[in-house]
Amino acid sequence: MHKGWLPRPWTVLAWFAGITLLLPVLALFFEAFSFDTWSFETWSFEELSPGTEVFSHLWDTVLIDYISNTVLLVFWVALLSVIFGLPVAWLMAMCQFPGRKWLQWAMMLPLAMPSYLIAYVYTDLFDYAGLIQTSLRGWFGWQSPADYAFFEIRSLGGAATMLALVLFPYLYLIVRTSLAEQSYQLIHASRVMGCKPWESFFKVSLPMVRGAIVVALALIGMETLADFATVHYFAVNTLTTAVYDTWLGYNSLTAAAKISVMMLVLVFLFIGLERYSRAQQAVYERQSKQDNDFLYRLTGIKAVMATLWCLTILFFAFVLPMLVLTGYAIDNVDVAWNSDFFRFAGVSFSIAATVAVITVIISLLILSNQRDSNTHEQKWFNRLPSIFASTGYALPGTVLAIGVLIPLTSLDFALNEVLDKWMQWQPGLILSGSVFAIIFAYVVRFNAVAVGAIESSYSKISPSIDMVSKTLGLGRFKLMWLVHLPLLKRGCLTAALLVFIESMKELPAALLLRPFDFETLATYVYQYVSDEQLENASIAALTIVLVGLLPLIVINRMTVKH
Amino acid sequence: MKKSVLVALLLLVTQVQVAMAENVVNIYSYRQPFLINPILETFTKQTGIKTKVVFAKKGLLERLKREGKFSPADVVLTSNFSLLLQLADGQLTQSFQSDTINENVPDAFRDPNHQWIALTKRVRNIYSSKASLGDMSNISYEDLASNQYKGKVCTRSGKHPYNIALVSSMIAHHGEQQTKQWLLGVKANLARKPQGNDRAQVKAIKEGLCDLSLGNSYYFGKMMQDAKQKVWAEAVNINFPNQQNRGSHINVSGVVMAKHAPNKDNALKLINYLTSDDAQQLYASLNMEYPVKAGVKLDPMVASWGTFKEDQISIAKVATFRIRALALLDETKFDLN
Amino acid sequence: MENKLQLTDLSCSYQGKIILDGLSLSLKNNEILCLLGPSGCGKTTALKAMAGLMPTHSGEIAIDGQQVNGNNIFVPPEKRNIGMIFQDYALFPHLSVAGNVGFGIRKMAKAQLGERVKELLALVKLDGLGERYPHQLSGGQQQRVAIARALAYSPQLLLLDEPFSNIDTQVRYELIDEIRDILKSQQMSAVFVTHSKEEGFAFADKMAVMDQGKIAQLDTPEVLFNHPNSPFVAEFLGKGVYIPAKVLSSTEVDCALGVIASTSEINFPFGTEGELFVRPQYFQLNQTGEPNAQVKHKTFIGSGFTYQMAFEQLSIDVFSPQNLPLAAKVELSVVPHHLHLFLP
Repeated sequence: MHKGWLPRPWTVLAWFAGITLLLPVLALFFEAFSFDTWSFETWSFEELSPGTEVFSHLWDTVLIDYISNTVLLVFWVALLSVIFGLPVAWLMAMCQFPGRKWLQWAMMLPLAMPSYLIAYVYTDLFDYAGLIQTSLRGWFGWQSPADYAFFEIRSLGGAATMLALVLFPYLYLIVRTSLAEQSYQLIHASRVMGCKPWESFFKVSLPMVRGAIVVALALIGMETLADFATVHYFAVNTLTTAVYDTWLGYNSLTAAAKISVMMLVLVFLFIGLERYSRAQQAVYERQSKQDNDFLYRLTGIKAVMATLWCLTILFFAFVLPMLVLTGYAIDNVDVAWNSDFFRFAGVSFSIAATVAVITVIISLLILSNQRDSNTHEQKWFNRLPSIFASTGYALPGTVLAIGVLIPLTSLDFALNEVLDKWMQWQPGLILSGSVFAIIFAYVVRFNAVAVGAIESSYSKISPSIDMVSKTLGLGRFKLMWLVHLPLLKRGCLTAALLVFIESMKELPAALLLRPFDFETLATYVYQYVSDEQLENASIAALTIVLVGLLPLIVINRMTVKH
Repeated sequence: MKKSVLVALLLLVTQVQVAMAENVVNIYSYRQPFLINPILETFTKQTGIKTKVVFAKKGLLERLKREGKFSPADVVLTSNFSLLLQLADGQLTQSFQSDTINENVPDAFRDPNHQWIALTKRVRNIYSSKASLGDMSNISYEDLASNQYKGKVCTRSGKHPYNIALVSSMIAHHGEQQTKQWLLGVKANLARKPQGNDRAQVKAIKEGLCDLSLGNSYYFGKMMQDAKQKVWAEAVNINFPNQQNRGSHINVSGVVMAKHAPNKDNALKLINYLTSDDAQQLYASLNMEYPVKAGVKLDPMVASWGTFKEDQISIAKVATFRIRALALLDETKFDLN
Repeated sequence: MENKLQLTDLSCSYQGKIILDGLSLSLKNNEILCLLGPSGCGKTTALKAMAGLMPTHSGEIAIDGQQVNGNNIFVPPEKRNIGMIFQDYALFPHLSVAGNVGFGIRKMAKAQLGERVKELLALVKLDGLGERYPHQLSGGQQQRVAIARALAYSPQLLLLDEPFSNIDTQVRYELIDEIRDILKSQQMSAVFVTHSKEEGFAFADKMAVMDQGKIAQLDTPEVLFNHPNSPFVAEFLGKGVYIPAKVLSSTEVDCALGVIASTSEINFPFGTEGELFVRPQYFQLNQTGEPNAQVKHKTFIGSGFTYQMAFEQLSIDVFSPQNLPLAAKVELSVVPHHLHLFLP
């Protein structure tokens, strides 16, 4: 069909989308390594103490600590997510126990909880001056910290726990789906060959969902890397801290870029792991499940334990923070109520919805192009756009925001110049000074989520479907519209909803990029959180969570129907 | 599809156009809206000029730089002096002056090159536990490193601008080597890793976790106004350090006019207003800050702390040590365990 | 000789629906038993109950004289020492062929284990494929791996659930013969579930036809085919037509096709009226006789033709090696054979 070197239009579009989403990252590096762009010479560290460069200064002092903190944080978040999410996923996929039906979707609720809110709430509870420790001191008559041992919530462990509590649902969702696709016959086979239930879990189920676990952990790892609010609040210094310090403190974009490179290495590692695991996953998913029955019907103490385990996690990840927030709201209703909420909620909602739609369209474009590869080289080549389009996920919000500003302002300047020549009109910052910038930033940030969700759906469509459609004379566009889209409906919806929830919560990019008098629920809440006065914005905080819940209900209805 | 994109683009363009045509002043603010909104509202009431605000704690300077000549920003409000100087040195400001300003703001709080002015002063105080330490009015910043307070000191992150400014002033007075020793001494005295904000430290004193903390003056007043936080504030004394020698370290909040301000006249009107008795009075009563304008009545509570000696070292000089202060904080791993 | 497997009055229900209803059967050593029946008759459930993969409601199961179900006893599947082959083979996709085969072998030194796996792969003619992964094998090869895996740990009893349904018809019967030989050579007792009577005939020593959770008849394939004890068994094992008939003597009946002789004794008193069940191969078509039936439809099946004949009001399936034109009128008669008569 297509001979010679002329690329197909879809390929061109996919590459265009991929590179556009990579632009902020590219811009940062270009900016960092080109001279004469930064005008703060007098403020640079180099100037003040000649011969020392910021990066090597950091390397000599704090960078090792930051790196080890980052690695430990990612490690602990991953481990805790597995501990929280894996048993729940297994229980839901394999077992019948009381409350399973509603717990199955309730376990997704923590996704709607922004990590900065849960961090705030738990600090308020578990801090030395918090309710728990104060009450303990009251009951036991302890006077000072020397009298008893209590864990420090504002620590690496605390931050990891907070992040894991709101991120584990990713693991739960992905692994549950993977487990549910496993044939029970495999478990049966292992049982008759002498495996006890726990043995068959470790020897059969676990190795087969390893790929799914890695996919989930890659997502969780990137979210963790990008997090600033929680680690900052918990006074845990990570590489993200270092990026802010070097850039906004030392005014050294070069050093900041070098540190970002270190982070990007981690990111590419995660993306690579994710890709590899997906390829493995495809092999394992061939067998379909015929049984609709449950593998184990839990009764007695086992059933109670299963229900209790899910309820405990749900309680700490969602119910307790919601109760505390509601408590704040009731106590501070006079300051916390603001009739502008409806407007803020509307802005949040429409931005999140727009971002969701755009990411789904871009992901479809990139993935359908990736699918239409015949040779090995072509496959590799066509996989690049989806990697490009996923890098933004791990960029901390403020860094991303500045990365977005660089290409957009340049584009604005060019646009103004052209329009000025053409019709003597300079419209100003059309792109960087408008909502466009925020939407672009969010798309860059969350496209990885959409790519992930849709890709797993895509891999389940047999290639023979494409072949049969082509023999029936369908072109690329019709194949997408008439065949793929209907089959991908669930995947697209899941993708859109996840992106929607994430966009509702996302904060730093919006703060820096917003036009005048532009307020979302998140930015409104943040101005109080940043002053440790969440109580005053507790109703808005509750609203963020509640609006985020709407799509979860839709996801739930969808899975139940299926 | 194409049509809707075109319409959307048009809408955006018109929106931008409208923003420029209106009788407004555009503000990039490092200060939280709930602090400045009441003052801006009064300004609008008096002049009919609308105010539009973008608030962010980080990166506004970078945004301003990126936007260049098309930036819609007229003025930038900052919460500390190092930002004022960074804006000026980054050539993101333009000079402004008026008789009102000259009259209202003392020389020491105006840039000789007219690039910035300070609006309010805030003191870096030391709060002390009423119960365990009693009268500490003679305390100095240097004392925080003294052995006798081992495990008794609380502070927020060393890299918060307020603390960076304090460390810079320490360098200005004592030199780098001594400041480093001081930082190590303070770090050794910390009851816990630096965390939270200034209020959280007072709360910790109330709970008995530590006895001394660093905090800005106005937080004391703000806490006294909050039903829940009042008990924290009542557990501590507010002390003005170094009264025996050079005086207490002060920081300022301030304002600059953006280099490419599209509404220059309005910007100047706003700045004039911010130095006026009305606005200065609001700063004093709403935020418990010390106004720069002489003769403005302090909030009764602030007034009750009495007069104190201010460190007279120039802001510009202190600011030159900012990067060195950061470097020392890294070298001593002040924020790390 | 003790029975290898004994099921006594086994009942089992699921969501209020009775699946097994007082099922009893026994299996001798080295015997291959086929559970045959239409889908939903409970045959797979019975197999799972034997394996311990399905809880039972009442009744008993004993393997090698050891009770594993009943009287508040439940031995979990991993303690029953049985092998099981699943319809989709249930090979572990994350393990190599060798890994799959060695999965069930416990407490064996590594070198020894390797030897045993090699031996088994040789047994199922998969020498040298130990390093491959299941998805790299053909359906027949996967089936052999499943057999090797199940035999590897020398189970007391082998259970096979529709093991041949995913195999191409061309190689299916070869594979059935081969696996039957392997089982016989290993002196393995086995229970085998299928819905295909041909597979059952080829593979089993004995067959149990199941209907609605019960055993309808259990015997050797020949007896079942020739002496079904109910219309259900008769029909399930092959097509046929019911013709009203009356017993004339211990070896003759009378019906619309005339007097028919039986090669075995008829166990009904003279004068009994009933329905004679006649399979297609026991009819004869005679072009020279007096025509009493007409060819309505014909199908070539290789060894001859099956015809649909119109005889009076009946439509009768007949097998014949002759090639007759459509609408041909011929004489239809029944050759002497074991007659079976069912009372209405």
